Amino acid sequence: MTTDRNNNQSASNQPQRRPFFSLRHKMLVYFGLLFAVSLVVIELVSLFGAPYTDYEGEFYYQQNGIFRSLNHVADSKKKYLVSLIEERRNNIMALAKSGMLRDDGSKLHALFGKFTASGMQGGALWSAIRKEKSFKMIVGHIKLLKRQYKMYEKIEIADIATGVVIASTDDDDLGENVFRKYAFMASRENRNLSKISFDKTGNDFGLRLVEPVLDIKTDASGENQIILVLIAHVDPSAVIYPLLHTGRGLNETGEVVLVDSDAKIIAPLKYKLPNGLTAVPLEYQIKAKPAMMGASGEEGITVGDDYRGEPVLAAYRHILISPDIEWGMVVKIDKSEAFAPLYQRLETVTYVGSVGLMVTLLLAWFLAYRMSTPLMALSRAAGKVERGEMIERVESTGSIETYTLASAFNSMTTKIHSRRVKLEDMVFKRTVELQSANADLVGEIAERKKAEEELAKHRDHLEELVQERTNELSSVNKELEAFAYSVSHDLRAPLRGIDGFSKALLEDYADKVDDTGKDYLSRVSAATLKMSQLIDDLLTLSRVTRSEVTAEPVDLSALAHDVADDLRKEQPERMVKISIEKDLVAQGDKRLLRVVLYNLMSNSWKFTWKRLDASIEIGAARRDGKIVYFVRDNGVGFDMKYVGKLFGAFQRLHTLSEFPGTGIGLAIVQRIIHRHGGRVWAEAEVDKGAVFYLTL
Amino acid sequence: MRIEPKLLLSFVFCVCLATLNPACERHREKTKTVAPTRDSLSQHPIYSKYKFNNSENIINIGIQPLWAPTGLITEAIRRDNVLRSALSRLGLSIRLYPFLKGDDVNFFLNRGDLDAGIGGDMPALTAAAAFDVTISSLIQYGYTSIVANHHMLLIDLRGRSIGYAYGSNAHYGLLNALEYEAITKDDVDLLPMDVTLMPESLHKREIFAFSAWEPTPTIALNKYSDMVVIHRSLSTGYLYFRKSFSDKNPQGVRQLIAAEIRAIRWMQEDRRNLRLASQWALSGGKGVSGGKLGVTVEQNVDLAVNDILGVASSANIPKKLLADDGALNKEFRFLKAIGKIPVNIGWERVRDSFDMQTARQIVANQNKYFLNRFKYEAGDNDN
Repeated sequence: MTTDRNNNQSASNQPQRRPFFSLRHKMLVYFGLLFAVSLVVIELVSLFGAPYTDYEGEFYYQQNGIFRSLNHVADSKKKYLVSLIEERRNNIMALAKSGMLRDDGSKLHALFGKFTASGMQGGALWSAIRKEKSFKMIVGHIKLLKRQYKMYEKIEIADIATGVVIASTDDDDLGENVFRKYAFMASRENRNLSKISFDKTGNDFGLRLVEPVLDIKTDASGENQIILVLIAHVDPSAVIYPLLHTGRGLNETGEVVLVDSDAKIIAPLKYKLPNGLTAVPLEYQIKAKPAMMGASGEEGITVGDDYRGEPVLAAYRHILISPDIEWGMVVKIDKSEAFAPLYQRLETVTYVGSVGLMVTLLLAWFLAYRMSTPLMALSRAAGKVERGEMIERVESTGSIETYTLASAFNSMTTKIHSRRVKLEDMVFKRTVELQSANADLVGEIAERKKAEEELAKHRDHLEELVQERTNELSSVNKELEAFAYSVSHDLRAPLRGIDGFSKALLEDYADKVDDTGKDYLSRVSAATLKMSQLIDDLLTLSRVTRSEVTAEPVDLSALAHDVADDLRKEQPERMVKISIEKDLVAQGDKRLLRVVLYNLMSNSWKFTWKRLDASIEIGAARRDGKIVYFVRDNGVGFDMKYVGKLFGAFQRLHTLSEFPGTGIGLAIVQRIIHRHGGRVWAEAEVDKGAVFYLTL
Repeated sequence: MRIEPKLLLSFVFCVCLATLNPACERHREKTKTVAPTRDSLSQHPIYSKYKFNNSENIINIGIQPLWAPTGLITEAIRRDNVLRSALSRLGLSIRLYPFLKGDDVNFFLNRGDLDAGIGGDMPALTAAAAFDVTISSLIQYGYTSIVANHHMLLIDLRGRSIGYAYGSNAHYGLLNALEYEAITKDDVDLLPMDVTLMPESLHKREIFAFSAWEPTPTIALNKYSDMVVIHRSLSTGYLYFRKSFSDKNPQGVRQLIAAEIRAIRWMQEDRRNLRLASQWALSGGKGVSGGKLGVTVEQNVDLAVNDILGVASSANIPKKLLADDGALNKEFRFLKAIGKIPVNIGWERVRDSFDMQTARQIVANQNKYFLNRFKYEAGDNDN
């Protein structure tokens, strides 16, 4: 029963075992976490770089590489586009300034003026024009140009004054007014300038290069006047579109988007819009940031969404064709493709990491099993020892640590067994000793009990004896008091006889008694008077002793004033300062307390008669939590070595001639105070006064 | 004693922070420079040597030789005998003073030392908002660039120190580009500095990037192969006049604009002319760059072609720039929003400072202004 209780107690003292917190589980968790965290950290550092180092990670390098490539493609295409247009422009500029065009143009311009001035118009006019050598030369040249470059839709030459086309690669255009047809030609300023336009006129949308053609001859001021306008229509599908959709660096999802300054597309888009429609050039406006930035004159790289809402890496460029024509170009590639190698790598790492994690966990489990098996055996053995079973030796296998542990455990259990045997022997011996001592103790206790019973009997008897003695003493005391009273009372009659006969002798036989006899008689009379006084005092003391004490609140201040008045009446010639504290109240017998105050104050009154500044003070103070009343005077005081005699009956510390009295007053005071259960004492110094203290 | 791993990690983290933070602060202290003040411009080592001639017969023009392509155009104007003759007939002559940036030109223009100046869109707009000017012709249509040590996105500039020239085109280009990524000027550490110092500062990693106009980016890329342009913003440049001057000398203004158009056409006519003008510009730029510029003649030619000559054949200011949704209006609103232009200045005041007619009238009357007659002095010319 006891063993079970101990087992339960030790089990409850052990920390509660939580699942998955065994060594095996912990090792699995720790190894798994270590592997996973290490893998994640290594991969994160590999992808996004190491803080505070120059290594910025593969993500950065990959992105940087793509941006570099996009920048390169964007710059190349921009440069190529600008160069292409510039070349066309130079073509047209060179043509406009060529001697052939200026020469033949001047002639054709003159003929056109001449024919129209003569009233020719319509078919006749153009038939005549077509026959002219200068017309043939010009048309032949511009047609050759068109054939050679294959980039021009058509090339026209118009009269600067009227806007009428007088030569063109397209014969049908002859006679058309370009000023009315093309808005950009509306202002005279534009006709004077080398100009490029890009707009849409009906279905005719494209790039047009305009160059003024100067007269071959100078005018009166020596200047060459502009007589013709050369307009070359560039075919965007031949020049621009191929440029956008060819070349390296765009990969599968890459695209070059060209927009005008309003971010409206110039060339068809590679992808359909999110709503499934195909965007129409110069109508569909792109709201995506890269295109907007390019169209706004910004150049750079960015990461954002394209017109499909697809995340892309983009390089945007601004293409400044002329102050009137600004385009934006975006070279972009889908983020998914750009980072595909990294995503692929992440997948691989995840796969390899998962396999690695499983292998790690298996290895951890195996190690944990190997490590924990000896420990489990130890644990089981320790459990048996704990339950008090016979020890068994644990097999010392496994690692050095577990071998050492098992050896230590075996050594420990051996020692425990040895000590247990010794302990049991000791306990047995001690038990025997204790049993013997216990028997002795039982005998001793019986004896003590018997002695205590006898002691109790004696104590009870003693109390009876005390009571008996008290009663005897009380009876004797009463008899003594009665005796004293009767003696005092009975002595008065003979005393009065002695006093009376002494006075009768003096009065009736005065002439027969000499002076010595008279002196003796006077002394007899005085002695009887003194004896009478002593008897009165004894009677007073006796009454005080026998009288009943009736406790009530007493106004000591009022009593003191009353006593003071009596004293002043007795000796009105004396000037004594009497100070009485107000509201002195005590619990006691009023009549007896007045006797106390009278005796103390009359003593003070008496012993201060030599002092001119006599003073008496009655008051109270608190000492040790009790109220102590006092009567203080500045009289002759006394030597404290006689203080023991102070309260004895008929004891005197001064001569009778100096201070008359019977010496019974302070004895009465003490008797009354004792009857009240209080205490009285005095402190004094010779010639410096005395203080009488009392408690009630 | 057993040390808690969390405690140890926290300790290591705190130590790292405590070590890095003062290092960063030291770096910032080292690289931070002070924004130029008006007083410092008066005592500028180059500008303080200028002796402006305030005679009514002299047109004092502030130019920027270090700003391709305006450097080529102004050097051609300096040597234009046609202009000289035309001005002579008006009793006028020109003096050119090189400056480092448009904001500096504005200071002397506003003070009355200059009658005309060359400046980018931001200086032109701030000048038009601050005092009376007439912006008469387009002299540049190109880009400002943000240059860094390697490829990066604009968003990567957040929290970085960036060198810039206060009040310049590139200043606006930088702030505008950052705004696309919702980065404000408070999100970056803007360090004002001269453009000539920027490549070296970037190389020494005192700054993370810089924003400048050509040819500084090209110089940087030539000198340091690792540097790349990470962003470019379209910018424009103008020839503008103090209004009191243009009101008093309208013919002189016209002759100067004609000279600009003539220079453009002359350079467009033949690449040899371009090379010659490029040589003049590089030579003229030495005065303010403190030495060799760091770009070749051919590179300077390419920059000029890219930034105006390949784009425009006149100096007309495109009307679309001044449209309500145009680039200049957008820039004006942006400059007001960031406090570069006072909020009480209306767009009308700035827009009306642009003279859209004069250049067009000159082009329309090219014979009158001899736009196709080219007579330039060869060799260097110091006024």
